Amino acid sequence: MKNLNYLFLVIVVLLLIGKIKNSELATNSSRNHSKISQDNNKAFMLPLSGNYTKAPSIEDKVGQGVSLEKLLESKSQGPIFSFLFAPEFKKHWQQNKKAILEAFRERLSKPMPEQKEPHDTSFQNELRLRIALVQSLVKLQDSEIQPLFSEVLKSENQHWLLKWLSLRSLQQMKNIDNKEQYFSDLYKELDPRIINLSKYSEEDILDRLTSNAN
Amino acid sequence: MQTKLNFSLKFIASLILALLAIPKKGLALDYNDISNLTCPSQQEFSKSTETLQIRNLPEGNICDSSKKSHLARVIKMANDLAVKLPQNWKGGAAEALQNPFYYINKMTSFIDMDLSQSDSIAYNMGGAIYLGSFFFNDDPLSNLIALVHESRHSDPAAPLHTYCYQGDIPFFGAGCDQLFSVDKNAGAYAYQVSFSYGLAKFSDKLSASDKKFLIDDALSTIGTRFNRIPSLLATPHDVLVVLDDKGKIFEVEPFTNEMVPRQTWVDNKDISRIEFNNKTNKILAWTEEGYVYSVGGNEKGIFFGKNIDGKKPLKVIDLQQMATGTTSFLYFINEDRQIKYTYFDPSANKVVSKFSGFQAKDFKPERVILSPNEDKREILDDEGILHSMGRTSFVLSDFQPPDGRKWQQVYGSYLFQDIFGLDKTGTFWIYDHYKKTVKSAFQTSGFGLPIKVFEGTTLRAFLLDNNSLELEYIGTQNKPPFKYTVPSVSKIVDAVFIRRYQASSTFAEFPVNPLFVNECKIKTALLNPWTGKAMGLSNTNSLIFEGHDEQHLCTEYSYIKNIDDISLESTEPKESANIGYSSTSLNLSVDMHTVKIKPYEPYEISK
Repeated sequence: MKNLNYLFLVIVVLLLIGKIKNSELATNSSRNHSKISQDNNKAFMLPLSGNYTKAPSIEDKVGQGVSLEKLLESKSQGPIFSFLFAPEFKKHWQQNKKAILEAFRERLSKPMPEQKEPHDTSFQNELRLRIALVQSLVKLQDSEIQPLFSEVLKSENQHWLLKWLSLRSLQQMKNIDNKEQYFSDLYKELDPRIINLSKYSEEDILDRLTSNAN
Repeated sequence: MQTKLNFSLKFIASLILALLAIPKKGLALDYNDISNLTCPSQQEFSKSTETLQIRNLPEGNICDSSKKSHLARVIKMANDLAVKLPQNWKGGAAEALQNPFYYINKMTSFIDMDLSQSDSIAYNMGGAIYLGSFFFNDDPLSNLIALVHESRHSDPAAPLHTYCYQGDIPFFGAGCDQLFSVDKNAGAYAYQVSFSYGLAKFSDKLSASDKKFLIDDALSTIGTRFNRIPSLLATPHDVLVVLDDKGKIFEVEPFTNEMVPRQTWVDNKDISRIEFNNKTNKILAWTEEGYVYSVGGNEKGIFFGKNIDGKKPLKVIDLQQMATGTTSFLYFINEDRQIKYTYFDPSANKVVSKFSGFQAKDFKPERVILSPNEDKREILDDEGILHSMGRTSFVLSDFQPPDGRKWQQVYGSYLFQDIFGLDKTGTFWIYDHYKKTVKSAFQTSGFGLPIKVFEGTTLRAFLLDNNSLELEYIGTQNKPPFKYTVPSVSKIVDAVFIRRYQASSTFAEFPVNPLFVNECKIKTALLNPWTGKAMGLSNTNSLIFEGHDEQHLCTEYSYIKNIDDISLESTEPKESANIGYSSTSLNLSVDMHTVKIKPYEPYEISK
């Protein structure tokens, strides 16, 4: 029985070492690739001139005072999405409300890029980013966002997807004064298609689309 | 003691194991950030390269910041992101979702580089995928979507991209999927939407922001790259609007013929002409003096002139509004018969008005016509001759009626491809603007000589001189036209169709006026998608429509009695149509039969 206990302890320790090592490796693989390559396989040892280190996150950069407008210009949208939909975004909003609102407003009021050829995806990429900007504000429930949504809705030059999301966002806001009158006035100015669509969430639309297409 | 030690050891071991099982923050990083992606081993990558037959691999190592490393990680990700689909998933792209790597491999003969294409992400040529330079600047999930999209092009069942007739890139060849489908006939964009959404929905590995990215990608593709979106997003219903000789505007209820007056700010007697503005979904009302008002849903009307010049009142002979990208262009003929266009310049945040070189010299412009040319417009003059105008103008000889006949009316389609003409003998012509040929022509059927032709989404109408309309369903040649008489005591001088967009009542709640239910003794209520009000089956099995005011609260449809049930049926347009809308009918169950009633049309009975 004692032997068995020792055996168990040894197994646990071995497991522990293995797990920690794996964990380190996995962490390293995402943080410092030159290290893992040296550890793993000498055959593809990296020249250190590769110098591959993880770029600072948007959150870090914003913290360092880099303007959000500039960061939104980045072609790579993955880190931007991480920033917008991380739980910390709310905290970030509280600290940099004005700067975020201004950066978003500026981006949303820019003209959409012109499509130069069918395979050019710049228009779609821009639309995808703008959808994310609007979505990221919804959960904040801050009355200071209301004018921005209202501007998007009343702009003649916004895509219907952005108008639909802005209207949905407004409908979900709890702190609108005289809500009934506000929407009654607003609806008079809007395309009925947008009012209709505002009944659906993103998932509703995609669910309906993919289950009813044929 | 032994037992206690045993227990403690086991407890500590379980605790350690449990703690180790909790994912560390560092391990739950987003897939959509290339620097978070795990590199494959040399062996793994060699195997993948061989399987996918990747040629001309870019220089670099597997785990550095090179293009080679980017590709290596994305391919590893394609292997990692297989999802288990529920058995009832019918949303499409199942093969790619269940194993993206396998799907790309199956559909692709080889993968090669075309790095000279700096703005290109990827393209498919003859079953091989070529990666452009931009692939390596793009996000990993975008890369994966692009590989799946291009792989889909290798499937012979997948229709090729086609000309964009609407959406955000009208005028583009090979830029859109004709329709959205989740079936074997799904185009590459449709397949891409299904893949993005399915991955977001079912992956247990992706982070919340990865899933948002995929959902937003699906949405932005839906919003830009389809000529036809299923009607569920918003089904348009054609509603007839007429203008009488007293300058009053009415909506005509399609089943009860109730004339619902539309209020406008304009002094009613001044209104002399109405048109429908496709872009804004509102009525344009012209006054005798030539001023234009935009009359919306519930509002009384906004003076349109202020939207054009912003300063002084502007008289307008004719105008057309269209959208390219997200910019709205407005073409109009002013009172000096100059042809101008305006557009909103977001950088200056103002409406810009330009002459754009359209200056007619030898004729009087009367109507401006929507057409697929960005740098030219078609113009109808006051004598009924059609001109094409750009830097120079010429008579559009390809599309003039024969034997010296003149046009009564010419109008463009917001679908851009076709131009329609009604000549002064009552013959209707359809001209294919791309092929520069007349597609078809027919004599209107003889209910009378039309004074105007106009279209809704499913109906085309010829307004006759005796308060009646010859109506036909667009694109259905085997269905004869029918006559509809407007029940008005005054003379009808103009008419248009407006579109009322309604979501299906089966999944959108709508408030039913309790007064309607109580007063009209309604047992089953439905949304009337043509009016936005309610309709229902009464306790006496009659079909009752909620009217526009208290006097018409319970308006009975008196033609058919003893109705057992009522329902709405929408049919999607045929695939062959370039673009089309669903057509809705109201189905009544009567004595084991279905009576189908359609707006403004005599009813038919089917067994």
